[in-house]
Amino acid sequence: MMKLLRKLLKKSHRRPSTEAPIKEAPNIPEGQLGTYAENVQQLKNVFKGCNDIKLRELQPGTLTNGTIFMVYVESLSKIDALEHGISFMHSLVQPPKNLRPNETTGSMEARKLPDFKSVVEWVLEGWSVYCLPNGEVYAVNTYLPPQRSIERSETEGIILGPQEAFNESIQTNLSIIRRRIKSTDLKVKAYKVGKYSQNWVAIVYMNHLAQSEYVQTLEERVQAINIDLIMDSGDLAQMIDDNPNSPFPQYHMTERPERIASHLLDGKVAVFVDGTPFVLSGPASFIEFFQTSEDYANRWAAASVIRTLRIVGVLISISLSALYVAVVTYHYQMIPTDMLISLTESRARVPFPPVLETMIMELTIELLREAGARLPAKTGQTIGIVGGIVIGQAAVSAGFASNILIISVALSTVASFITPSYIMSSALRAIRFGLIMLAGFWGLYGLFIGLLMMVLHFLRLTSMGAPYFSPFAPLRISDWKDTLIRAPLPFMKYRPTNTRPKDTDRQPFKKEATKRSIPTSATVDSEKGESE
Amino acid sequence: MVKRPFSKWGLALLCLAVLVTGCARQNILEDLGLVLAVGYDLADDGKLVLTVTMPEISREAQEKVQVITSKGDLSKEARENIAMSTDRQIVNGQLRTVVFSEKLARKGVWKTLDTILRDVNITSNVVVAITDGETRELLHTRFPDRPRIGRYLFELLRKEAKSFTVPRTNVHDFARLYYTRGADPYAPYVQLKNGAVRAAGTALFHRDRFVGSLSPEETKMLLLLQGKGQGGDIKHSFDTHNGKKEMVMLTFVRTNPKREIIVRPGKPVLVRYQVQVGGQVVEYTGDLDLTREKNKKIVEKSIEEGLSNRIIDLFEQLQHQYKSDPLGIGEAIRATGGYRPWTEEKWRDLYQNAEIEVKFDLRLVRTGMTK
Repeated sequence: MMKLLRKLLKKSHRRPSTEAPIKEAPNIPEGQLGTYAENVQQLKNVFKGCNDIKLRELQPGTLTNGTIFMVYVESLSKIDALEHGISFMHSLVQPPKNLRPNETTGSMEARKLPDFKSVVEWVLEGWSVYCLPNGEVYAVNTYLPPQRSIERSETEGIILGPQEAFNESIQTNLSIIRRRIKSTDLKVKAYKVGKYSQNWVAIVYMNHLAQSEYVQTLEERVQAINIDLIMDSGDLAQMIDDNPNSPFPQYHMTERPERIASHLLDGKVAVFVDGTPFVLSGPASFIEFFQTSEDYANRWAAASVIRTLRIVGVLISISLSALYVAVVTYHYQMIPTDMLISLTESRARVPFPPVLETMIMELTIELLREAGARLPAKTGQTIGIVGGIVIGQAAVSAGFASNILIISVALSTVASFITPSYIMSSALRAIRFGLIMLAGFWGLYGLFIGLLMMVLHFLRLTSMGAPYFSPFAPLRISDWKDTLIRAPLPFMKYRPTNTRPKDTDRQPFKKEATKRSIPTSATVDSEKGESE
Repeated sequence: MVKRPFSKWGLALLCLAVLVTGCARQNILEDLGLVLAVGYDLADDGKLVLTVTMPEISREAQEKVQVITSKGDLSKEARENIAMSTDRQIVNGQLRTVVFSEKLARKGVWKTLDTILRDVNITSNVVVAITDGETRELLHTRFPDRPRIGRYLFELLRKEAKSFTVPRTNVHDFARLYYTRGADPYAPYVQLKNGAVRAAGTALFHRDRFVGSLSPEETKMLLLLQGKGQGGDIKHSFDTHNGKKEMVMLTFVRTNPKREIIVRPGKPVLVRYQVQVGGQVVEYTGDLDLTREKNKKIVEKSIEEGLSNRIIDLFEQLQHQYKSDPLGIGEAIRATGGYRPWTEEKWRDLYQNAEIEVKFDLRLVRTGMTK
């Protein structure tokens, strides 16, 4: 089957094009820097047709004493920063006389560029580039693009806890994390990904916690990406996944800084991508997608109840409609007699077999939901009314669906919203249709085959090589304190073992003696010797 | 490692899902005739008469229940005959009550119950009941306020079992007692009287043959000895010091029967029951002041005596009249280990001759509350 698919894909690739394909990104020419005139000429050639990139020749006497040629992307630069840059260049051309030894001429971040390729890169990066009369080329950081401010998270709302969310700028995002973890242990490794988009991708981790194996894996995978455009961390995640065909996300994807901060301190590795508020972290486990930072802000008893509720919600959302199909089609024995009679009464008017009935209703609900997600907020209200009245009332009275099915479909839809992670929730949404079909084919037997296959898939799935279904399989009882229940914080003395953090102690013990690592006799002796 | 998105097995399963679907037998709800109760009668020609009741679910229907009767040599054959006269697919999965007519039950019910036990669709929680008349008549009776007779019968027996006028047994209990050499099965007994269904005590069996029935009052005594009487009511009348007849209604608050089997060489087995009962007076017509300890003692003693007599009466019936052992005394004798090899003849013999001794220890824990 896959062979067939691949063949089809290949064929469509070979569609004849009128132009010869361009092998490389066109506008990064190789070459050394030459004299001033050569540089200017080459720059003018390169940026021909890019009207948003300003090419200005500053005549001597006006702003500077020599001729300076400057290139910058107008929309990415701050005007007063440009002023500073120009005066800085001016001081390079003609150093001020009253400068004391070792005194610099300003706090601008500037660097001398070695070759022409880097010139183009820095211009596109948003820095302003200056060609000096002596043939030297400098780049000055005047980067200040327009960006969204730090706002509340729309996709992952919480009630308790910090409300700020990441935004599209990687600098802002890194600054938020740096503000939360004031440690030199927080390492950031940046890479550029995307042939045309040239996104900054930062791999962030705690040096003394994260396994270097994971960091290395991520680095290798990120560097191996060869694509023209990275739109979001979501598509990046699919390129660095262990199993790209699995419906389930293998990296945690969140726009909440405190989640990422806590993940980093669990020994996980985070991936920041420029241009998206969503940050990846891994290795991820299945249960993690049902945790929120609110669970830790809330009291542990309440948080535990909510945790369990979420898991029940998952079971309901994936299997309730399928259960309805199975029971109504095959297993009438399972229902209490009184309920059976009322169920049969409502089913009696429906002309479709149960599978079809359920598929139609599920489809309708999915249509509504998708429409609600795409519509502007004001029109979204209409969808709610249409959905509630037309689908709920009219479908039943028209004999289109039984009212118990409506309840089950509505309940499973509501239950699917309980999953905090949108990406996991949509994966479970997709799974549901498969289970309904299986239940229609084979009844409960089929439903359980489907659920078992799902569990088997979980068991086989890994995230960056770490088991996805941990701590259930492989069984790690000590990690259960943060799964179906959220144990009181004093119980969480050790970090979760799934990420194999280098340092396991989360809360240091008061007494040295109770520490996990027992000192060897040699160290005890030496300590004694010192004290004496 | 190369990850294959569709493994060979996955593909095979997918194909199977499409190809084998036709093989699964669908029971789509609205096409089903759900049998809630069945009745078995014996026709004059020796054939089995089967009556089934199915709830009619469509709202337009005048009758809320469909009752069909058919004949056959075998119960499944009769079922096939019934299927011919309905548009629904007859299924057994919701069967809750099985009723036998006394006439059939006297010949033995096991052959018929066996197919019910073996049917995987039927729960083993099915109630087996015996009725004095024809089950056909019972199930064909229309109750305008209780449109579904099958359901009504089940609920009635379940409710009455809570006040111990009928035993709470199901087909599983029946089978267990049937297979035990040392106990006889028993089942609820229902009567159709003046157009009303009535729970009427216990049907007693000798092996699988119906031998007689106990009244609701006697049923309470039977269940009391099984330790199930808690919450049951009992009426007791007695003569007082001044020769007046007084009556007292008693609710058992707690019951604790103890059974002791004493094997005496050369003499019949002694079965000694010691029953501790805590009772609450709910109604009393006499004029003794029951709050006084002395008067209470008098009443307690009288009730104890009355209860003991009832139990002795009960055993008289069970041992000699019906030759049925619903209390499993035979099993208890076998458990003493003194009678090996154990045979049915030995059991019947020992049971019939066993000496029964009953000692009541009654305490009136509450003599009436005022609001």
